[in-house]
Amino acid sequence: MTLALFVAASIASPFLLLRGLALRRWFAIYAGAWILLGVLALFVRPLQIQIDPYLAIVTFGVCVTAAFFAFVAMTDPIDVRWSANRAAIVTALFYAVAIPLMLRTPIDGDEPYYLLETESLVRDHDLDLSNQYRDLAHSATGRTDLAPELGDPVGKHGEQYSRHEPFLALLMIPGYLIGKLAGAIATIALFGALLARSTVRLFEDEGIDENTTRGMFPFIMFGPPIVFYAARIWPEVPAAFCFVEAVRGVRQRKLGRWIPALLGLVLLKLRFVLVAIVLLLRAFRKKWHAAVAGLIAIPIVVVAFTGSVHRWNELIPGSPAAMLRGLFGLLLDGAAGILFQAPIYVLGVIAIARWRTMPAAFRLGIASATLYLIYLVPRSEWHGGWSPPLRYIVFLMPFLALGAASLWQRIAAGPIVAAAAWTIALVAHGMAYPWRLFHIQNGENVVGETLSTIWYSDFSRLFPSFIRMNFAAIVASVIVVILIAIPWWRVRWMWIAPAVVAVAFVAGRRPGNRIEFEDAHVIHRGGELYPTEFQVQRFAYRGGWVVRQGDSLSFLAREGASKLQYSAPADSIIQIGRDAYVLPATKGYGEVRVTLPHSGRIELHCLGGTVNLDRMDHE
Amino acid sequence: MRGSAVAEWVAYAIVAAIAGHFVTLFPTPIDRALPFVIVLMCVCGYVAERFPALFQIAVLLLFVPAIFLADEHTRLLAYGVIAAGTFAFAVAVAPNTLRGWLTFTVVGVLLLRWIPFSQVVVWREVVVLVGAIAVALAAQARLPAPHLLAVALATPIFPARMLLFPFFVAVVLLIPVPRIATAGAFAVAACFARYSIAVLCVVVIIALISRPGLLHAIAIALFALWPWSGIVARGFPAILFAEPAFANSVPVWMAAGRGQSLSIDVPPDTHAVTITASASNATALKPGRVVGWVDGKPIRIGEIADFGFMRREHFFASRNRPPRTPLADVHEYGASAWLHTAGRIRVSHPMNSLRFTAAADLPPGTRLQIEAVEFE
Repeated sequence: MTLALFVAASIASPFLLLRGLALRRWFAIYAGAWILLGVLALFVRPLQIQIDPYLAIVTFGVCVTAAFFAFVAMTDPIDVRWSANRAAIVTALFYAVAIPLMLRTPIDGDEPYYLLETESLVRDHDLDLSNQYRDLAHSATGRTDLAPELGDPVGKHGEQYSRHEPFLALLMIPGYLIGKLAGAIATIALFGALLARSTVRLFEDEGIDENTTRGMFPFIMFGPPIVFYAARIWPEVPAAFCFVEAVRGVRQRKLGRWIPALLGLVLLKLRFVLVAIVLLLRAFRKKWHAAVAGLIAIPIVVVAFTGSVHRWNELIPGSPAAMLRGLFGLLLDGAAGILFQAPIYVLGVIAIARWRTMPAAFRLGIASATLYLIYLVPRSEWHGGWSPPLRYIVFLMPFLALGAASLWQRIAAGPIVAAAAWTIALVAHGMAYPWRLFHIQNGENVVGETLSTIWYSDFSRLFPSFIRMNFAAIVASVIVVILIAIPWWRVRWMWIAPAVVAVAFVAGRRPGNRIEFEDAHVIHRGGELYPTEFQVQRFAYRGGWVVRQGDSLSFLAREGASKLQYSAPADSIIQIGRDAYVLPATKGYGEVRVTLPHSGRIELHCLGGTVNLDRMDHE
Repeated sequence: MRGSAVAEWVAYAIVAAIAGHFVTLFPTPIDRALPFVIVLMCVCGYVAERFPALFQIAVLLLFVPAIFLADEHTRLLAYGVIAAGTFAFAVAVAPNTLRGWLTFTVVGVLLLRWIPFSQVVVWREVVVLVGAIAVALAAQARLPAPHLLAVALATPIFPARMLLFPFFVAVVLLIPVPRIATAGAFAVAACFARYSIAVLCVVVIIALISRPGLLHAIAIALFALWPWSGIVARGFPAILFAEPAFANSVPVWMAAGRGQSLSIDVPPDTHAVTITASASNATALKPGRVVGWVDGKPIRIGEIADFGFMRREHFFASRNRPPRTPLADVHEYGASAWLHTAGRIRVSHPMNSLRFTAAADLPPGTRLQIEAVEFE
C-alpha cells in the first residue's frame, strides 16, 4: 500500500511541476530507475546479498524523490511549473507516503497523549483522560502501556489532565473522525503542506530567486527535521506554519494574518509565548501600541503560567555555561545538533553572522526567537528529550532556510552536495526505521553506535556530544567559532573530506582515553543498563552499566593508570587483567585507581557484589 | 582553466586514493583495489567537466560500504552501484567528444577487466584495451558506452586468437551493410554455435543494433556488477537462475568414474531430494550428453556442467552450457570471477536409497561428482 502511494505520488508530482521535454526526460529517468532496481533485485538471491529489503525500497524511494527535486531545481525554468500552491500539493502527496512509513511502529513520545486528548474531546467532550487511560485497548494510539506523564495535572476530583496544550488535539478532531490515527497525522501533514506554501511565499516576498527556492525547497520540506515532524503528532510543524504566517503578516502589515497566526502559535505551545512577545513588540509601529499590547499580554501570561504545568521559576535564565552548552549542542551535537541532523541549516546559522545583509524577514524571525532561545539553551532538555531530533527549533527552520537561501549563490557546490547526501541518508534511515528517530540521550548517536558495534571500538567519541560532554565537543566548538569568523566557503572542503574520514576511521579503531561502560563498543556479558532505557528524563542521570558477580565487560583501552568511576551500595570486587580491585561502597559516585596491563582489549570481571560502572578515564 | 582542473583532480585523486587505502580493511581484491577505483572515478569526474562536487561526493560514498558493510557480497555490490552510477552519470553529462568516449572506454575496460591485479595478463589485456578503443573509433562515438564495454567485457583472453574479437567487431561496424541484416546473421549463428561462441554473437548483435533508451538501465545494472565482471561476461543470465544451497544441505563430495556407481541412504519420510551435482574434466561434452543416472533418471550436460567451465581459462574452449538451475556459488572476484556450475536436480519420492551411476561411455578422466544432497 505504501509502495502504491509512493508510485502514485511520484507519477503525479512531475505532472504538477514539469512540462514539455523536461517531463518526458524525467519519466525516462524514472522508468530507468525502476528498471535498475528491478535488475539489481534479480541478483540479490543468487549473489546472496544480505540487505533489509524494506530499507532498500525506502532508500530507493528517497533517492528517486531527491533526484526528482534535483531535476526540478536544475531544469530550465521554462519547463518548470513552479508556484507555491503546486509546491504545497506535491509536498502533501509525498507526506501522504510518509504517514504509513512513520506508522510502522506505534506513535511515541508525546504523540499518544495528544491523541488521547483528541479522543477525550471527541468521546467525552472533556479533557479528563482518566477514562482514556482505563480503556487504552479502544484507543487509536495503539499503545496499551500508557500512563500519565510525570507532572501531569490532577483535578480536584481526581481528573487526570495532560500537560499538553489542547489546541493541537482540537485541530486534529476532524482528521481523527475521518481516519482515526492516520487521519490525525494527516492533519499535521496538511499543516506541513501549508507550511510548504507559506515558506515558498516567504521566499518570494523576500526576493529569493526562483532557482534558489527550487534548490532549497526539498531540503526544507523533505529533509529533517520538518519531514519527520510533518508525519507525526507534534505541534512543531503547525507552529512553524503559524510562525511563518505571523512574520509574513507583520512584514506585510496585515493584521488579519499575523494576529490569528500568533494566537495559534501560542495556543499550540505555551513556550512560544516567548516568541510571540518579541514579535508583538516588533509588530506595532508606535510605542504606545506596544505598551498596550504588553499590558494585555501580562494577564494572559499570568493566566497561562498559573493554569499550566509551567512554573514562574522557569523564567529565570540558566547559567552562562549551561547556555553555551545548549547553544553549541543545538549546533554541533552528534545526536541532536543541526550539523549532524539537518546539515543544510548550518548555512542558516552562518547567515546569522552576516546579519545586516540578510532579508528583513530572516532578521525578524530570528530576532523574535531570541528570547525563546535564551530560555531554551540552558535547559537540561535543550535537545528535545524523547523525540525526533531538533524538536524545539523546528518552528525556526523556515527562517534558517531563508538565511541559507540568501547565501545559496555564494556557497560552493561541494558543501551543498555533501549536505544533500547526508540529508538523503538521514531521511532514508528515519523513514525506514522511524523508531530510531528517538534516541536515548546517552551521548552516542546512531552512526557512532553502528560503527562501534561493527568494529568494537569507541567511534562515538569522535562525534561531539553536549549531552554527555566529550573532548570532540570542545574541539568542534572552537573550530565552529573560527569558521564562522572567516569566509569559510572559500576552503576546498572536498579535498579535505576523504582525509578527514580516513583519519577518523583509523583513530576510531584505537583505544580512547575515556571508556563509558554503557556504550555500544563495550561487549557486555551480563549486567544491565543504568538507568533503564525508557527512564523519564534519562539525560539527567550519569549513565552506566550495572554488573554483578560473574558478569564481565570487554573493551579497548590504553595501557597504564586510569581512574574508574562507579557507584556501589556495598563493597564490590572487580578484576582487570590479573589484578583484583576492591571497590568500596559509595554514597553517590566514587573513584578508584586501576592499572591496565596493556593497550588493547581489556577484560573486566565482577568477582563479587554489585557495582554501577560509570566510566574510566586514562590518566 | 583545463590545466587547473587537471591539477585539482590529480590532487583530489591522490588524497582520496590514499584515504581509500586506509579505510579498506577487508582482504578481498576488490577492497584492496579501492584506491584504483577511486582514481578511475576521478578520471570520470574530470572528463565530465560538469558537477565536480557530485563526483567528489561519489568518491566519498565509496568509503561508506568499506566502513559500514561487513557482509562481503553486500559491500561489493554497494561499491559496484556507486561506481556504476558515477560512470553512467559522467557518460550522461560529459561533452560528446571522441576524446571523452575514448577515456570512458579506457576507464570502463580497466574497471571491468583489470581487477584483480594479480590475475591480469598484461599483454593480453592491453590488446583487449586497444581493441575496445578500435571499436570506439569504428563506432565514431555512436555506440553507447555500455554496449561498447560489453564487447570488451565478453572478449576471452584465452585462447590468444580470441583477442582479435574486438577488432573483428570494429570491422563489422565499418562494413557498409544494413546492420539489421548483419545482426540477423549473427542471431542465426548464435542459435547453432556452442554456448561460449553464442555469447560473443549476442554481444556483436548488441553492438550492431542497440540504440540509446531504457535498456541503458539494464546495462548500468549489469555494469554495477563489475566486482564480479567475470560472472556477467560468462555466467549471465545463468546466474539469475542460480539457487543457494539450503541450510540442511548435506555435503557428499563423491565422484564416480565411467561405469562406477555409488549410493546414498535416504532418511525415512523424505518426499524429495535435491542433488547438487557436477562433472569434472567434462568441458568437451556437448549439451544433452548423458553423464550418468540417478535412480534410472539420466543426468545430462545442461542439467549439470563441468564444475569449472566458466573459469576464463576454460570457458571459450568448453562445449558445455550452464546448468538450468546452477548452484549460487560465486568464486573469485572481478574479471576472474566464475560461477561454480554444479547443477541442482530434484528427485521426487525417492526410494530408501539413491543410486548414482556414471555413464559407461564417459571419456577417460571424466567423472560425475555428487557434491551435496538436500532431503525435504
